[in-house]
Amino acid sequence: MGTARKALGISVAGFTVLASFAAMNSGQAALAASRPPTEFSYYVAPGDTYARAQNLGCQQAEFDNSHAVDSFVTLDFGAQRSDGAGTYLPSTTAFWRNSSIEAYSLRFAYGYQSCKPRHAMLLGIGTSNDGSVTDGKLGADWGKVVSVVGGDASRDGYRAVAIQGAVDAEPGFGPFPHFQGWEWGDKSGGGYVSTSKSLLNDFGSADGCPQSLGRSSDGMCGNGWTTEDEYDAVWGWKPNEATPEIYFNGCRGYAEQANQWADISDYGKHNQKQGKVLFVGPLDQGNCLSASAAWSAFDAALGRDGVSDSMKFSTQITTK
Amino acid sequence: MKTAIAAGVTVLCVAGVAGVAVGVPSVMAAQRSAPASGAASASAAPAQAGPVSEAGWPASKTAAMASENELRAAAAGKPVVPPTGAGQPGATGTGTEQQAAAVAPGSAYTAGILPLTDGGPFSSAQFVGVNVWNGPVGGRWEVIQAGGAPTNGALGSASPAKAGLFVYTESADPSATSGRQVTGILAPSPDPAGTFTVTKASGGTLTLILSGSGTPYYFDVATGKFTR
Repeated sequence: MGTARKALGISVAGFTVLASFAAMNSGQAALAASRPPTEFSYYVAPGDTYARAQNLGCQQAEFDNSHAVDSFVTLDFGAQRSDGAGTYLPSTTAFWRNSSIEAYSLRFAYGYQSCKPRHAMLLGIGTSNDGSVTDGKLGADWGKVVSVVGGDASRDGYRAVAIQGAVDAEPGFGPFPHFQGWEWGDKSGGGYVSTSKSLLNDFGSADGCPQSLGRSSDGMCGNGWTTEDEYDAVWGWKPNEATPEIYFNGCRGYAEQANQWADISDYGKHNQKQGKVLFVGPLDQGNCLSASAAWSAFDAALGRDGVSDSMKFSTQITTK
Repeated sequence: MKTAIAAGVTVLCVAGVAGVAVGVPSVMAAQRSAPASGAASASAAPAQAGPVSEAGWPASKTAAMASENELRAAAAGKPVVPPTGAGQPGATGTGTEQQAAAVAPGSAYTAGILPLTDGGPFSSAQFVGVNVWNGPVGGRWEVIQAGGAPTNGALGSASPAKAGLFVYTESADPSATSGRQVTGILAPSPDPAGTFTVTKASGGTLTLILSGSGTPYYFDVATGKFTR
């Protein structure tokens, strides 16, 4: 992995990034399956400040410089309010307006750019499919938030930061057709794709999906979702990529999440023209599993299911 | 999904039963071919990614990445300047709050019944939410997530559940960085199968409806007890 990163490294000064940045995320260039350093993503909390966002961004640049790596960071702002004006921050009832979300994200990007980065950061602006309404209008609203941050970052000279969308899509949060409408549009609005050209990183779970390997077929997940639905959400649809939750690996009686995602990739390999999923990397929470254990469990499950993947990032989400 | 309760949570009246296996409906393929209902534009139909490129990603995905990089390319050569809009206030409106918003986005609680399933520090393996009530109680901000505890954590939201309430309190100041106190999962005795939904909040009492039955239950917010 270290060799691959060096080969695909981004020259910020020279800025010959278009091809190399795509390749960095391609899941290709498979060399050794050694684990990359842990990148931190964040549940944005009610007490967070713009100063904190800037500090975290700066720390990320320093981390990337010291480890000679690019980074993949998601800011989770929680579920959108039904009117699309903002979000309830994760696992709280505290509300932030879209303008605050945009400003916080831009501050994070500025913090990265202002600390002399020699590498690049992919910054995902994240929401979820939780809430009463997940529809095309809300998707369009979120795409607009992502576009505003991306445009402002470009205007303000943040050339080391790429802005994209992110969504914590989970069966337990709502039915799949609602999520599909959120991304692709429905009678309420045009969806995420109508207002954003950026990628959309799914950092959710596959609640209730099969946990056995070697199936290769479609199956049922929670709340009416199917294996194919999950496949589309993480890879099948054009803008979609994934840092799937690997919070559990059967620990404390919870799901074998590594197996669930491997099975979804295996389904794609055998049933979809896009083939297996090329995951960005696992998302851990440091609860049941350490980042290292989550990586190992995921890498092993993918291997056992015949869908090995040279993942470029190992991410852990935190409120720290 | 956020998991944070691990330790210190009192789970009351939760029983364990075996999970339920589910099958694959035969209509799945037919459902897949249907276009998005009420699609607003040509772009509304979910599009599958195109041929895989040499880099391993479908060309459509690399095109999206290229779009992001076009913005980065446009930034090259421009002076790096701090965000200009970062000082704008958030949801709150008093003069003091607006002043504070120069450094803080300005969090605000939204009291009452909200349609959130993730309104607390738990994962779907620990508790499956339906909706939430929240409001001021005794100088604190109380949050009561209605739903149920899955009887098979490995299935999460796909598991049968025992009805319950996930209860915790926060600081009255929504921007406080600490102060969350988890009470635990509260349930009546005997604990019915299913999930609770908060349908009404009146006079400090929540009216809860049990899924699949319509049977009302009542919960006293101040005492933290089911009253019937």
